[in-house]
Order: sequence, then C-alpha cells, then structure tokens
Amino acid sequence: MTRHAQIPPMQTVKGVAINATPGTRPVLIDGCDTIPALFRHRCQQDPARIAHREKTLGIWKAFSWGDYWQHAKWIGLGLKRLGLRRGDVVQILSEDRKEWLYFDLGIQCAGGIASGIYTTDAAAQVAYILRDSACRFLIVENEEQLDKFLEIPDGAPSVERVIILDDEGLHNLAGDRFLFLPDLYKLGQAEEAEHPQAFDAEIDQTAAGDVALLVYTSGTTGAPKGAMLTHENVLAAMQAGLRELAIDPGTEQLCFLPLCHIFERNNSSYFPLAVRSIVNFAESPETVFENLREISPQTFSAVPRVWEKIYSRVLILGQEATPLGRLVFGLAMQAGLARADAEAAGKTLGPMAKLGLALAEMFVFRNLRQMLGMDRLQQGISGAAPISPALLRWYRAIGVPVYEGYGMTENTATCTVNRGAANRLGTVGPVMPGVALRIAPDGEIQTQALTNFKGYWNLPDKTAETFTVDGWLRTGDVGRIDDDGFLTITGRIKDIIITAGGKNITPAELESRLKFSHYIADAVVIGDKRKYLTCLIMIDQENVEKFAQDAKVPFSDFASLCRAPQVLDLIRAEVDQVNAEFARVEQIKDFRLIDVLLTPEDEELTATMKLKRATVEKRHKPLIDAMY
Amino acid sequence: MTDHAKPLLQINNLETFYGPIMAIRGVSLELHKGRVVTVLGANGAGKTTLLKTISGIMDPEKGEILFDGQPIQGLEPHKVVRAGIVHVPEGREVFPLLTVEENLALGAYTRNDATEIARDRDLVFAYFPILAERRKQEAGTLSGGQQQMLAIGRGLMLRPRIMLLDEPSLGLSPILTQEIFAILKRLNRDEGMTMMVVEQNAAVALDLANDGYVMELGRIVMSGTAAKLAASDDIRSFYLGHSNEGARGERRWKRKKTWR
Repeated sequence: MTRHAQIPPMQTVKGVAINATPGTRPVLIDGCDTIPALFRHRCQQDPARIAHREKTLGIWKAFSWGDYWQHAKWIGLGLKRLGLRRGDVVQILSEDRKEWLYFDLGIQCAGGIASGIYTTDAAAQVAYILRDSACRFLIVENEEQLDKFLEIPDGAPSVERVIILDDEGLHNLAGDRFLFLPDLYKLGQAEEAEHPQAFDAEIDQTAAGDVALLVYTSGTTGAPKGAMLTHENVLAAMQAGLRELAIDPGTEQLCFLPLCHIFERNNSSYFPLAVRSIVNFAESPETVFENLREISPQTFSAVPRVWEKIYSRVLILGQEATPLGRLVFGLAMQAGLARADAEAAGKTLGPMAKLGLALAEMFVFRNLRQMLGMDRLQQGISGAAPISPALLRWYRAIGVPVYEGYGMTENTATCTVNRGAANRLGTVGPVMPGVALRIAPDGEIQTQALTNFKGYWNLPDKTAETFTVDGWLRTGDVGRIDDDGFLTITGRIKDIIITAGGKNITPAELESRLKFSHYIADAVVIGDKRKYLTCLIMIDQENVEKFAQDAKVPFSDFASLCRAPQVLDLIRAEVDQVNAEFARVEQIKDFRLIDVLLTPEDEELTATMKLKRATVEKRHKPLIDAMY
Repeated sequence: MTDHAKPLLQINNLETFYGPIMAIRGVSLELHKGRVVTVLGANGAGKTTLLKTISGIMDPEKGEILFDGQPIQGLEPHKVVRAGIVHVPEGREVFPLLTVEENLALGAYTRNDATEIARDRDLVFAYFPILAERRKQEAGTLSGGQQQMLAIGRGLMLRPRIMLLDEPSLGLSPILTQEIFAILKRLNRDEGMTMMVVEQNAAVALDLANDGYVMELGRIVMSGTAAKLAASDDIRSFYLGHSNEGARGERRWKRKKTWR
C-alpha cells in the first residue's frame, strides 16, 4: 500500500509483517491498514485454505477463505443494493456461526459498522440497541430471534430490512421488510455482475481511523453503551495478540462465547485474519465440552465460569472412580501440584519429584488432557472476570497452562496478560506490547495505547468522562502494579462502598474472593451508607447439589436447596473463610442466597453470567432489607 | 404442604442406576398420609425408576426411603408389599389367563382373613362395577380400561397404606382416563387412600393431586402444591399444552424452561 507517506520499520512475526515498534503509526499488517484490506489480502493469498469449520448433521465440514470472501462480498454488495450507506450500523442478532463472520466482514467491507446483539437479550434491550444505533439493517438468526424483534412495541421504526439466516418455520412469513439470506446473496450477485469493481472500491475507501465496529458493553451498571472501535484499534490488538498469544498459522480454535463480546470477536474474527488460524464453531452453548474434545485446540480463551465447569467435571468424575483410581489420581495430583509450585517459584524439581511427575504424566495427566480436549493446548487464556489462583494452580498441575489476562471493550480487550515466561498467579500479568499503564492517585488504572477506543456512540459526554485531560483511558478499575510490572485488579472505582461508619471498601475484592469458592458462582456485596457489609450470593448449582447429595441433605428443587440449613452452613463457612482475610470493618456480617436459578435471559445477569449490581440490589431489595 | 406431621413416606437423596447409567440423581420428596402426590416428567425422566426403587424392584445406590419412619430401601419387593406399599405397574400387567376374581384373590395373597378379603372384594366391585359383571371372565379378554381397573382393584385387595400408580392413563381413551381418575379421587376422599401417581398426562394428575413434583433427567426441578404447578408458565406450556403463539400467530421454537 502506498497511501502512507512514511512506512515505519516492519518486523516479521509468525510469517506476518507487523510494526517493529508496537504503538507506532500507521499500524500495518502485511501492508494493510484496515480490516477489510487485510481480509481481502488473506482471501486472495490462498483461497482454498481452510478458514472455518462448522458441524452439519453431526459432521464437521470445512469452509475456505475463498468461501469467506465470496459470501462476505455478496453480503456487502447486497446490503449496498438495499441502500446501505457508509457509516450505517448493521446489527447481528445470532448465535455464533460462520455467517456471523461473513456478515462482520461483509458489512465492514461495504463501509458499514458491524455490531452484535446478545441472543439472550430480551425484546426491550434489543429495541434499545436498535434505536440507539439508528440501525437500518438487522440480521436475525432464526424464528426465535425474529419473534423477539416482532415483539418490540413500536416496531423498531429505524429498521428498514430484516435479514433472516434460517428460514425454518418461516415459509409463511410475508412482508417487504423481511428477506432471507439466499435473497441477499442474489442481490449481491446481481450487484457484482453490474459493478464488478464496486466491492474493491468500497474496501479502498475505508480509512484506518474509521469506525469498524460498535461493541455494546455488557456493563454491570446502567444502559448499554456502544463503544466505537476503529480499524486501527483492531489492527493494533491483532499485533499484540500475534506477539503474545499462541495463535499460529493453522492453529485450531473453538468459537463459543458470544461474538458480540470483544473477547470472542478478537479471538474468532480478527486474530484469525492476522495469522490464518482455523475457527471451529461450537454447535451450541450446551455442547462446548464435547466440541472441545473433538477439536482439541491449540489455544482456548474462555471466561472463568468455563474453566470452573471443566474443573468441576473432572472432580465429579474423580469422585465416581474406583478407590484405586481415586488413589492414583490423588498421587498424581500431588506430583502435579509440586510441578505447579516449582514453576511458580521458578525452581526445578528434584529427581524423585521428577520421577513421580513422569509417572503421573504417563498414567493420569496425558489421558485426562486427552479426555478434556486439551492435549494439544499450548495456551489457555482466562479473561473478562477474575479467576481463582487455586484454579490456575490446578490447571498447571495437570499440565494445562492457563494464563489470566485483562482488558475491556474500551481498549479492544488489549491491556495485560500473563505468559509462559512471565506468569504470576493472582495478577493479570504485565502489559501487552504497545500499551502504557499507570495508576492514578485515586488508584484507578489508566492506559494509553493505539487500542484505546474512539468513544461511545452518540455519547460525547460519556466519552469525555472516559478519557483524562492528557488523553489516557480511564478503565474504571482500581489496582496496583508491582515492581516487576504485574498488574493486580482490586475492584471497580464506581462500586466503592462507603459504609455508614465512613470506611471505603472495594466490594470486588471481597466478591472475587467469594467467587473463588467452588460453591459460590457469584456474589454482590452490599453496604453503601449502611452500618455494616452484607452479601447476596448465587450458589453454583452443580457443586452445591453434589455437596447436598454427598452429605445426605434432602432437597427437591433449587429453592429448597437454598433453604437447606446444611447448605447455609456450607456457604457461611465459605464466607467466614473469606472474612478471616479482611479487617473487621471489611467483613461480611450476614448473607442471603438468591433462591431462583438465574439464566442469561434474566436481567440480573450479564451474558457472561456476572451479577449486575444495580439490578440485583433493586430486584432483591426485600432480601437485603431483611439483613439490616 | 401445610401438614407438619411426619410424612408417611419420606425419600432422601435417592440415587438409582441402570447399569452404569444414573437414572435417579438425588431425589428427595415427601408423601403425607391421606394425600395424593403426583410426579410429572417426560419419558426417561426417571419416574418409573423412582417407583420401582420404592417398591423394591430396584435397589438404590444411595439415599434412604423411610416408610412410617422405618428405612425400607433395598428391601425385597414382597417385604415392601407386606409393609403396606402396593405398586400398580405401568401397562397394567394383570394375569391374562386368570379370571377377574382370581386376579383379585392374588392381590390379597399376603392375607388370610377370608371374611375381610371378601369385604374388600366387594369394595373393589363397588368402585368398579364392571369388574363385578365380568368376575368370571379371563383378564386377558378385558378391554384396556377394564384391565387398568383390575390392576388398581388388585392393588386395593392388599389394603395398602400407600398406592404407587405408574401411568394409569397409559393407552386409555380420554373418557376412560377421566373415569379412572374420578375413581382414584373418590378412593382418596372416601377411603383416605394415600397415593403417589406418576403421570405424563399432567392435566388429570394435577387435578387429582394435592402436591406435585416435576422430574427431569433424574432430578426434581420443581415442586409445590398442585395449584402452584398448574399455574406455572413452564408447566402450562410444556405439560398442559398451552402455547403462546407469539407475534406472528405461529411459533415452532420452544422457549427455555426455567421451572419457576
């Protein structure tokens, strides 16, 4: 590309040319400065190469970069023919599937802004996002999501066309507003025949500073805000990922978290553009573990809930094994934990410990990793919420390296990450290349990087609040950096509780300690302007049921499980254990369990299954008041 | 469940396997004297296994079954019968080559008080007059509904303290189902019979029962009074066939169950 007067020095990483000095402009990957340009380059390089795999009728089918290009092109041109203008926001309301990515790229190539809506969002939330983004074109996956759109009371007037991916059950659907995917492809083909150069022309028109995506922040407080990420933001994130993550050409990865979230979007849409790794789509959120075993990916990025679930599965399997099996597993775990601790301390194991570990590897861990689909895993990443150090240690013990990272939508999920050479449990690691980090006097973590977003859609005031006078991003998180540059997060600045006694408390610190218990899925600490701290707890259904079953505690449904005195004692013991680590005024005096089994459809939970503080406080007010 | 007395039948943390498959994964429930409890659930939820475990046909791996405070889990089936729990199996299972009278006599095999047995037989005939008419007929020649009546009658001959009924409506016409459930209701009201009814026909079962449990994949996912269950959105759409047509007037996808 010759559009830049000054090309900064380049360097080749994993066969890809990127800026030799992270953080320099223009951000170039193989000479491309926008996502569409890079996409075109990748597709033309080797169109027959596998880009995606998706399961059809129980069989994994491969789809090439050529398919990717062709379909994205038809989508982009089809939308243009329908009247898409540069800068229009197109919303995608679908579970993960290859068409999600076809649309992501097709929209961007045509100059639109791609944005996703969680399939678990209720009609009211969908309506809000459609209105907020003045969305003219909406992509819905199927009947279920279409019905959600149709439930919107005012009919979402901004939406001109709804494009439906699956026509199952919708043959009787009539109306000019609706269009099935094959029809869009046809429009695209017609446009292509008439204007063969139109698509390339649109790609060339796009500039690095243009907004590429809107990512609505799941936000545990307030209405969702659309974060505007530019091409440059995403390319800078790709470069950091390329340098620090175990994605290589041909790497297998599994796509299963919502693509509307920047974490999965980076992993499954953009990083693969950088290195041409292969994205496998999980069949459904319920089959992730089976799909994981089938794929056995080299890299796997997940939220702590997923890592916890895998751990619980192994634990439950272990308890159901024969006594001999349990004994062998116990011995192997001892050897494994010794390895984990030695690695953490940077020491080498003694000869006996080495022998024990070799046996454990041979008889237990190798099989276990194979069973989990982690036998090829080079790097597991945990992000989007704090993870228990004990859990990371356990994964180390069985020979699965899981690293905790930290980022947010507003910095394209690129901030810090632990890695093989620099890993410290309990921290979120040192900065990623090209990111500058500082702690403000009030403890807030602030970053400066090319991955920092452009601002919130239509919210200049909020955007201004998010940046400091000297242009640093205010993350809203509180934390500290140790002498070696490892960052530790202690909480959210807005969530700081000031008790009636005038004591400042960061609830997240208590909450994440509580969450590290296998029996507690999530917790919300309460106490602002109150005499003392209390807490609402969401129990982990599977593990608490297992406990009740083993301890012979009778229960029928979820509510009765939450009422059982032994369960309350169990949780109390967990709370007491956490309390012991805190000063008296910071201790939790009382707690209540949320006795309904919450699903992501519930307003109390974010799509990543985190409790939303404000909603929880409002919805469960009687429970809270009962504690004061 | 306003009854605070000790339950007649109490099941705690029951687990039962079919070979390596855990069919019941920790079930706890209570049945109080004089009440009717229904257990709802789809095929394979573990309902029949639950009844079989109570009546001793299958042994639980874990958990306890207290009948009048005494543990009966793992007892031989005939001992459970003697204790006073009778199981009316799914698909009726009457002795086809024996007459109605002989089938009823077999129901009373644990007893030897001839006059009392005769009185109970008359009681059965009073509830099921059709059986009196056909007392000399071979059971195999009866219609499905009559066989179901005979199976229930045979169970009554034991003078049980609890009747376990496994899908009494199976294979019956709606009219016959109504008829049999009306008789069960009278048995409960007039004789004070305590019953546990496993059913797929949630409408009739919830009408008969005082309390209900919903089982899914070997676990109880919901419990409460029959009225509460009948009013729940999930029960209405998944068991009672009420549907929300949605904005388009037709809808094929199923919303996710939350059991609230």
